[in-house]
Parts: sequence; C-alpha cells; structure tokens
Amino acid sequence: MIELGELEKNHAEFEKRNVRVVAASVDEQEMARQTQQEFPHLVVVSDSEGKLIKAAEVVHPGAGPKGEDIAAPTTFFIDRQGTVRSLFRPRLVVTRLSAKDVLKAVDEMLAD
Amino acid sequence: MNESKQPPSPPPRYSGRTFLFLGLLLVIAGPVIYTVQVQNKSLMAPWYVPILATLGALSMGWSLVQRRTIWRWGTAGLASLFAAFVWLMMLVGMATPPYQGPVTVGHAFPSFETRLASGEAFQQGDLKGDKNTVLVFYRGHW
Repeated sequence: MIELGELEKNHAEFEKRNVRVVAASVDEQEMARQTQQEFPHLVVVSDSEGKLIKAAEVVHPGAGPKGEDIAAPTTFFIDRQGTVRSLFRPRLVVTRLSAKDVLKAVDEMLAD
Repeated sequence: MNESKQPPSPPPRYSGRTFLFLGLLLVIAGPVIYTVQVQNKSLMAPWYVPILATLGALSMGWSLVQRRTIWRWGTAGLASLFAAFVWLMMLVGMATPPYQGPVTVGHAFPSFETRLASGEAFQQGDLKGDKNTVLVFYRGHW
C-alpha cells in the first residue's frame, strides 16, 4: 500500500502527463472501495473474480494470506491505443517501483 | 642494589568480547535500518539485511575462536541461523515468479472484463481513449 500511497501523492505529475493510474487487486468490492477512498486519484479495480489477473496472467498462486491466489506485483505501461509499451515485475515481493521510477517510464513511453 | 627488572607483563589475552558485541550490533542493524526504510516509504530490495547479518555472524564466530564459551556458541549459532534464514527469504521465500504471461510489449493488452471499486464495469476497450494508463497490480489491502 506504500506503493499506492506514493502514486497518489504524485497524482499531479501523472495528470500533467495525461496518465491515469489504475490499481488492480483481487480485493472484494468493500475493501476496494475503502482503498478507493484512501486514494481518490487512482482508479481502483476490484478484480474479485480474478478475471483481469487471469487475462494478464499475473496470478501468484497461493501467495495470499489464506493461501488464496492473488496478483503478483506487476506494472504495465499502456498507451492511448491500448498497446503495451513496457512492463515491470519486481524480483522480490517487498520491492516496488518508486513513483519517480514510474514517472520516468511514463516519460520514456511518451517520448516515442 | 640490583634492581631486578620486572619482566614485561604479557600482553592481555584478547578475549574477543568486542567482536561479540560488534557482531550483535551488525545483526540487529539490518532489521532496524529496514524498519526506518519502510517508514520512509522506500521499497528497495534490502540486501543489506542478509549482508549485515552475515558479517555479524562472522564477527561472532571470530569471538568464538578467541574464547569458547557456551554463550558464544549460542549467540554465534543463533546469528548464523538468522543470517541463513534471511538469505533464504531474500533469494527464495520472497521471490516473485518471473512474468511469463501473454502480455507482450508492442501488442494490445489482452481482452478482459472486470469491475471498478465503484461497481462500474471495466474492460479492455476502456484502455483506449484520451489517456495513457499505468496499470499496477498490487497484492491487496492486507
């Protein structure tokens, strides 16, 4: 959640670049709504049936606190035509891209 | 009167206690620094934790070489177990599986249908439009 907090904090930088940040997890709607309230500038997805994580194949089998399947942390950079321009998967579950890293990747995407 | 020259006192036998405490400090430093790192909202890989734990265990091992006591066996042993555990976590336990999915750079994001927190539908078509998207998958609210 630190990662989402950092992205929310930098929302003005994303808006300047005409980028929306979509945050997706398998949280149920109630939990996702709380997250949305906490981070109003992000677009929070409640992928409770796992359809999105299965389509992107970012499933981390059994990695949830109750042994359920959850999303493995992954970040995709998608342009306005819906084309994927880059993707990032951290090596360890405790590491993430900083907001600065994300903005740098966005700038690289927009430069092309 | 002959002044008998005192033989120089033998150098104090170095007990290695310094290495014991240094080792303890090094082992504890890793988790302490990590706590500070997280409080500063930095999410970089904390490789210093296993490295400091290993140096700490080695330092304690050296103090054991100086003087073998039960305490030193115990603490050096625990420090070594801790260092081994942290290395295992960093290399295996906390590793994410490499991405091998269908999403490829240069191609459209795969077709999908899901919901937003607000309950509205969200699908592949919504990725096209007037904005670029950063799509972040996170592990969940827990």
